[in-house]
Amino acid sequence: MIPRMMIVLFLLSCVFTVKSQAQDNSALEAVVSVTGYVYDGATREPVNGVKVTFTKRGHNPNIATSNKGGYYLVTSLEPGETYVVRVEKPGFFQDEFEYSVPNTNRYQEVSRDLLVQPLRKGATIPVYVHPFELNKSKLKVGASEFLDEVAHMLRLNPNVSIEISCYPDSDENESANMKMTNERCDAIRSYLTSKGVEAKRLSIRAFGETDPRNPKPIRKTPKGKRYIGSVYMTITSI
Amino acid sequence: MRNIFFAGVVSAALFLGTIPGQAQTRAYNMEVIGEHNDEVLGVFVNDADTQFASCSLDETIKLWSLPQGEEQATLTGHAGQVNHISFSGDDSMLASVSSDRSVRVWDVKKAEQMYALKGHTAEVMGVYFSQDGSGLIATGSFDGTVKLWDTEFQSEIKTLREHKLGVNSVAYSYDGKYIASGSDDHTVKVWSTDFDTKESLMTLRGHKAPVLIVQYSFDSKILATADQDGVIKIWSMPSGELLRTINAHTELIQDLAFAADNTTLLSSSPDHHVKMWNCETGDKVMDMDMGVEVWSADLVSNGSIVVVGCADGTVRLLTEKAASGGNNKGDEE
Repeated sequence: MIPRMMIVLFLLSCVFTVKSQAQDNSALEAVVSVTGYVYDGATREPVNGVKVTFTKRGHNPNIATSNKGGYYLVTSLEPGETYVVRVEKPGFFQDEFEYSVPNTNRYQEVSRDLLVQPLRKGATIPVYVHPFELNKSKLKVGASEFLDEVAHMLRLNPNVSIEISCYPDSDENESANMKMTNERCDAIRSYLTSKGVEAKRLSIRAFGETDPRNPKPIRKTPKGKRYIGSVYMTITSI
Repeated sequence: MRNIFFAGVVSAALFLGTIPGQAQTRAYNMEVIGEHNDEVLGVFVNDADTQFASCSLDETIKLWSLPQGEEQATLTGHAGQVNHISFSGDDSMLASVSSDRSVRVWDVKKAEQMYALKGHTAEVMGVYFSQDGSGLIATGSFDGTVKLWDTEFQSEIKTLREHKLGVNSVAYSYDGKYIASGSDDHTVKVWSTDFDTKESLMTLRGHKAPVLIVQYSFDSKILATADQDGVIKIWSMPSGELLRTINAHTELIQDLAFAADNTTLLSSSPDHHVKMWNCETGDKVMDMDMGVEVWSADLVSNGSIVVVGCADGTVRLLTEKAASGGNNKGDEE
């Protein structure tokens, strides 16, 4: 009797061991975490309380909320999968984009900082990646990358209207500057309307003198810091 | 097609008149070999000394042969000015960074873009490919971060965040252990390249202006850094001991490069000058007035050819003449 019981116990322990190992292997499956900080697009200050949701079709969303320092962490993302990321907080533009998780066979933590644009009347958003070349009013190759984001946000937030304002690159010729900055404003407005934003939501304001908030430097500036007139987008109604 | 619009070779002697009575130890002939459509912001010579790349405000990268200086290809794809470039250690890939916020990796042989890496939230200013075959790329951005990327998985590995202002330049040590970064916050930080450590290993202080360029020697024992006031500092690594300060240029210094002897250091500046230094002694061994603002310069291993990228869009080759004697001290502090 005792030997038979021992055999049964032995077999049971084998079954539990195999099951336990299977669970361990499952726990070792590669996952990816995405971490980063959420910043205010106008002030570049960290923003807390921003809800960041990663959703894969047919699955429960992975959700995180940025803390006081703007930090967020979303974990348990599947390598090689594409998620729709929604970024939202009252008082800011809702944003949404696709994110492809790196394909990896080990645990990996990748970093992705997020910018949220303020959604309040009078808020001014600087265009950090300049859409124009020096002394030119034609949108440069690649300006679409940023303007597409703007058009996307305006379509997601259909009650918002904005004013596009452009400043010149120098103070040498005010009338020529006015012509150029008007053309720059028109170029941006035309692009946004071509992307489905109603023209009535887009007003323009051109300036003939350089931006007093961002004056032209006197000393020689390093590469990457060549002065090009500022472009802003100001929320006029929400 | 090779675009030579400056057919004549100009004697370096013409440019040495800026320091009368003081002979240089190295003298060069200058030749304009071609041009971009706008300012040339970076040049980088490959490890084999057979090719170099230039990048420009015109949003393109060009590949050139060495020592011939013939234009081989133009790489397009960036949506903003291309701020810097770096070859991989085996010269098969080129990494570039741009004001379009992207890092792009190119197949050098095919002259084609392989992929773009996105994650920086502002202009990307500095890039350095690891030279040890690990396939990692370090980048620095005006968003204040340094990022390490893995070319195998085409993804970011880690973000290093201690700089208080924008990062202007990064350098990968040739032994693969460290990354140095220079920032508008006047500091240089040294980071580990392991995947887990995100705190800097040390902060080098002493610059009184934004640090625009950092560069390791080939033996990884020297780090040269330069700033917006035209000052070069030479640091012993990995200790971080300051060895020397040289008041090198009258304007900001945008680029530095070491020769393979780990002693000869090249500096270039919008003050029109390209200078060569013995960083063990502080002696200036070459000084050429290019007649135009210079954004970038690099050299082949023995320093016999210097490649120069200028603000007028020209790409120039300086070819060494027979050695001459003399000594020329920099304004050492």
